[in-house]
Amino acid sequence: MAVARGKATAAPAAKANGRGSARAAKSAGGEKRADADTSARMTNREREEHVPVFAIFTAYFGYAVLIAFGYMRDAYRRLVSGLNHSKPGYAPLLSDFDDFYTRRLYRRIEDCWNRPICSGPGAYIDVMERVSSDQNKTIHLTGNSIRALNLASYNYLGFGARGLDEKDHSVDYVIEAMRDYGVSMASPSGELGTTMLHRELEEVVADYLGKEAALVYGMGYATNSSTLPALFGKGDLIVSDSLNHASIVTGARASGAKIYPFRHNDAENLEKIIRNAIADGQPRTHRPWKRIVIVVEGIYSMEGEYCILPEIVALKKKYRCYLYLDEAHSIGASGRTGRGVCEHFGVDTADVDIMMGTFTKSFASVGGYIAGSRELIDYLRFTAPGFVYANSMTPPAVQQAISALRIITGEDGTTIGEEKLTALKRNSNYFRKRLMEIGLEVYGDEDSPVVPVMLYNPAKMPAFSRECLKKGLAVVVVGFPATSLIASRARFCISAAHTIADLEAAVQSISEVADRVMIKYCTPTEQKSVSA
Amino acid sequence: MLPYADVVMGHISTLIEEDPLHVVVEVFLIAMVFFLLFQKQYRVKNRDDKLTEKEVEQLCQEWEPEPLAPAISNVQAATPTHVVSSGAGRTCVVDGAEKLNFGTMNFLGLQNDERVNEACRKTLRKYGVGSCGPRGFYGTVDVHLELEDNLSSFMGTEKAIAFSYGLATATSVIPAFLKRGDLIICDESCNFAIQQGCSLSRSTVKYFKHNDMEDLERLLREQVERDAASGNSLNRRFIITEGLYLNVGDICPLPQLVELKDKYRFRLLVDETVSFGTLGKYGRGVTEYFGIDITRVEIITGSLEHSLASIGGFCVGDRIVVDHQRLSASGYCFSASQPPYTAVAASVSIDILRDDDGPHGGRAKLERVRANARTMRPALAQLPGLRLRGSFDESPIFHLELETPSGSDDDDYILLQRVAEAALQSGVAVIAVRYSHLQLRRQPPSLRVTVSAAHTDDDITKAAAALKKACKALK
Repeated sequence: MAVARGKATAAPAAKANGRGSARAAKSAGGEKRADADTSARMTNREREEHVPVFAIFTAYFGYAVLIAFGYMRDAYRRLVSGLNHSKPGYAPLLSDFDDFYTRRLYRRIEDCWNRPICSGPGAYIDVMERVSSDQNKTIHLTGNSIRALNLASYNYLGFGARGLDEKDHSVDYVIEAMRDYGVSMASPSGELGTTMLHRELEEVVADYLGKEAALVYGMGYATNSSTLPALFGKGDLIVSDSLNHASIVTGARASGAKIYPFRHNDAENLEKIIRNAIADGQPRTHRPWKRIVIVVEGIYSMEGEYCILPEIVALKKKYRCYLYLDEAHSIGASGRTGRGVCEHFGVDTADVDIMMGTFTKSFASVGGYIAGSRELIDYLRFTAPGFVYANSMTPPAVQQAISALRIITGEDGTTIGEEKLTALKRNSNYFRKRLMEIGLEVYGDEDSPVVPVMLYNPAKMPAFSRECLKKGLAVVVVGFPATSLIASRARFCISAAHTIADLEAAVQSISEVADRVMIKYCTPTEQKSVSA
Repeated sequence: MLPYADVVMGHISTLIEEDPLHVVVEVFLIAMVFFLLFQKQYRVKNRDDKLTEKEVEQLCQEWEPEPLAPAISNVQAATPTHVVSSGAGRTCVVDGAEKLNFGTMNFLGLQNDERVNEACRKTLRKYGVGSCGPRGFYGTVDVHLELEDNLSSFMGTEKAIAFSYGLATATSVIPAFLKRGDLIICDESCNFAIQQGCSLSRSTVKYFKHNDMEDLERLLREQVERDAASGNSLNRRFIITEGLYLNVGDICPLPQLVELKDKYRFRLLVDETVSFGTLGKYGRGVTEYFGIDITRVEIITGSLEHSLASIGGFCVGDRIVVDHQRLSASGYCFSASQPPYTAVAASVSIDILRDDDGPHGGRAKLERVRANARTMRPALAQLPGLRLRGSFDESPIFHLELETPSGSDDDDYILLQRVAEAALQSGVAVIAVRYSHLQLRRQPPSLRVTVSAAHTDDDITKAAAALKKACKALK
């Protein structure tokens, strides 16, 4: 029944879809179900209007069944042995309520996550095989490994593992850096932890982005959670996109500034919030805000879409706010020369006050950077906790980031960087288009290397993940709480190291799995000729 | 007449005949409905002060934001930036000149050890540099699992979890177990990571005077009295201390702490950032030093960055404690996993600590760093104008504060910075401790000297002499 519905035309779907609004009808072109071409031009919000009602119903029903069973099992266990074995007189370390989701829902499908690998994160990885005989209470390694196509790691430019093998000498430079400096400088960057390498990386990054100066931290997460509190505090306002990453949320909460979230990628909502904030002032005292900063990400990793940067920059200039751009996923992966979403949209980097990014994704290193004006960077050097207390970035990783940046900009004298950038775009667009053609509900924007595919029903997560692994595909599935309750999805990360042949084989396998798991929510189209 | 009027009238008359009370009540209710419908609406807020569009526009045009970075303070201007061009060993090359290194926190001198580097080379060639993913999404490499097994078996706990950043360890562990409504009683000299973890957890935090067990007992007793009075349900309670205090350089009285926490039914979290790899026969930390069973401390967090030649942090405890963090420790779930070669560096360092009994092994290094600490202490105690903070003779960290502080922390810091610069000129690198403006509880400004197992007695003598000379800057 589901299969028939999946292939049904949009007419019954649009009628059955109780959430259908004028916008949905307009964007879907009236009655016709979006085909691959129009779907590619829709935004995620427009795609959200098309959730099939049957999928929503089964998703909620699935949760209801799981929760009911969970409560029954808890009640049984409480009767038999008592739920939380804590010492008398102590409150239990983990409250029943906090732990319910983990115990009763997550544990059933725990084997889909934390899968260990025994190779570097290249185009293919060796996933270590695991078994469990007691419903995932304990999971054991069997000692075997499964060679799988890596559609999961953030290896956008293919620098993971050995990169381009013989042609790529970056590992040799990294080993040299380790010989000169060791694995750790055992000192914060603000004390004796900053080396010539760190300075070089800072200059290369600042140059790459067209900013005056940059500084590097040893951890990408800490870059956000350390910089936001250092710059903003009581009396400031942080207007943050509702889908921002946990590190931004932690940093904003630690800063003591007031936080107003705005609806994801909604410029009208953002403008309304800023206008009202300036007019009303701080809550209760109505004093004017000291500063207002808008925090957005370049590419949202769960949605696969870009932020609406041009509109946000226009707003920021109009109301004299500051702009903090987190390019964790988009640096190196967007723009013609990999310089991020600013290049992608043609926005001048001088308009973005604080540019943040990480080296973990496109550069296969570790750590993060902040780029901005010289005064800003000097101030952060003086007071950001990540600089004052935390050990500086490990030198071999610094060298890896420098090598990767030099390759991307072509300063190493080869065309490897250019090839990687082209390959990434070509691969992402090819993969996205093919998935839409086979009838999957694909989110995200054109050119984005993150390709989320909707599953909706939480039970489809383990089904999809396990079936794909059997066919030799390592995929990531995400559900609540990283996404909303019924918006479970599979998220593919494309790499420049993949070949079109790899991806086509993957698409075939995914198509078979999707038929079994019944996630072809859209109309499949004929396979069009591929533009390679 | 209206159509059906006679039918309706007939119906109503039947009703009045059969059940008059019913009709009266119904008529009353209908009348009430009409009455309420036509009542004037009671407005709570006076809506006259809502801003007009024009006013909003005007306010938006008038508003001026402050600059992003504040003007450079004199403290910022007095803080130098040094660039190092060698590894952190017995010496390091600071701004182009080789100096004796008493400023970095590499207590065992494993930072450029050949055994560690050899293992890392192999790992780099096999795995590359980064792991390109968080632990949940194929970022778990077999070397991470090996490191965690190694840590838990070395420390003697059920399980261990490794973080990719030292500063993020305590900051992620504390909010994973403590939320709004819970209680933390923390030593007032705790380091920044613990302070930030406590504030992020949004639980009630009380501080007791540094290492003062009576003050702690007073707070615990007050809590018990409050419990008796209020009769509220139990919340989670933790006492948080450090093994060796990073900002003081002395040890926590663990036996008394464990006694108190058992007596008043609190749990204990010990942060062994400095004490792991420096205290105890094999370097297992304060529990080994005092001979206390490690299972009596619920959570132990530590760092892989100081004694072990790596980066990152860890937490050890029993299975429930560790497994819970895999989903709720923010700095673990939402961050990329540590690069495989750093996990191998930490693992190899632990092997050296535990297994190597030779002259370059763990035991020898531990003995060496303690001997150096014992030699350094009297030398530093005699510096004119400075006095030593803390009195634990095996501490590899020494803090020297001004004997006569001026009353302004900023001025004292600038003065100590001058001393540090003078010492650097004489060939010894020490650090004038700096705090971020985000750290609300801090120690008075101090000069920090750290010893490592790589130093010789000669180095220590030279350091003491250079510092004595540098103290002239205090006049």
